[in-house]
Amino acid sequence: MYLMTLEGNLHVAPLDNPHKILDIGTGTGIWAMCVPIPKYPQSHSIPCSLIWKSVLTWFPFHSEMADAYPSAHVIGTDLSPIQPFFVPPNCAFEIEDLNLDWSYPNNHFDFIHVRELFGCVTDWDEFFASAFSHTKPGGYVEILEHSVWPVSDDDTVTEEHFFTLWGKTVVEMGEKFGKSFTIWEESRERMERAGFVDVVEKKYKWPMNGWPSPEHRTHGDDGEKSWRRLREIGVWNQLRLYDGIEGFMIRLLTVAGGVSLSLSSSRPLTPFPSLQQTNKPY
Amino acid sequence: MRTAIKDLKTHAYLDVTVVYGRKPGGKPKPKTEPAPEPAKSTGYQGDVVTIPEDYQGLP
Repeated sequence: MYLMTLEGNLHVAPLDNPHKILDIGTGTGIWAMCVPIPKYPQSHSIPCSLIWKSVLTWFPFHSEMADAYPSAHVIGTDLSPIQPFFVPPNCAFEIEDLNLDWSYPNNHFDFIHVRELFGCVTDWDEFFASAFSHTKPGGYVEILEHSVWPVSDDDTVTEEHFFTLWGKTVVEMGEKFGKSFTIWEESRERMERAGFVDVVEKKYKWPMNGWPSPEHRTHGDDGEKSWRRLREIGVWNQLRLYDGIEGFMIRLLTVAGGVSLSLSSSRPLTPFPSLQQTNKPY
Repeated sequence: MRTAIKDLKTHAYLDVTVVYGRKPGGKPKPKTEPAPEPAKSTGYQGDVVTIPEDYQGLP
């Protein structure tokens, strides 16, 4: 979805022959390394042919960061060692907790990449201060984040809509959890506060499903994408949420929400109790 | 949730932001030096995957 959003680009910062690159919260490592040929998708309600065609469209050359910059050394860090062992020689993965002191020298990286760390960082100012310290003078830090609170440009998402309740619940539980979900709208200010200069912000919109059409589309800061591209992103977003919502919500619901594991597993998709009730089982 | 995200009549979206910034300093670039390369691409911009015009949502 990020490749679609960035129209095939791995990043938007104007890098100049970077040598040392850090991908914080690398997850599967897909950004940092060469993308393996994906298995044929199964058990999805979306037509497999559509998924397969889209995968081949967006990953035709299996080219990711380590491949895109062969002269660079790319390090991906994460709490979970879920990355594959077979990676490009200029790519490595290390276990690292971004909320602790970083185990790298200061002024070390030409580029630090951050993507979807909402809900993972205890102090974003401290995080950006660390990123600033570990970036070489002249180097770049880039962060991509999305909101968790669906909204609309028309009046189809009202105060009473489930999406509003969901967004409000996630944001408030994030605050209660001590790791906010609102960094998507705070990144620019926090980076400038940390000392970065020439800070650039680009905005996009991810439809919640394939609703964009010739008659209806997002407006404003949506990257001026065609309705077809917006629909494509929306279909993927729906699939992502459909399959992932339980994983996204279960920790928040159990730890911050006080909901029992069995209930949060069985009912992660139903309207949540209001936060005033979240300390009580429901 | 799964019911809500299937509703094509609700024109909801999530905001996405990409922010980058530069750490001050570094070697001053000579004026004759070519501009930094644009952001690296996967090498293929990708056509929009064809979704039927009469798309009615996922089953």
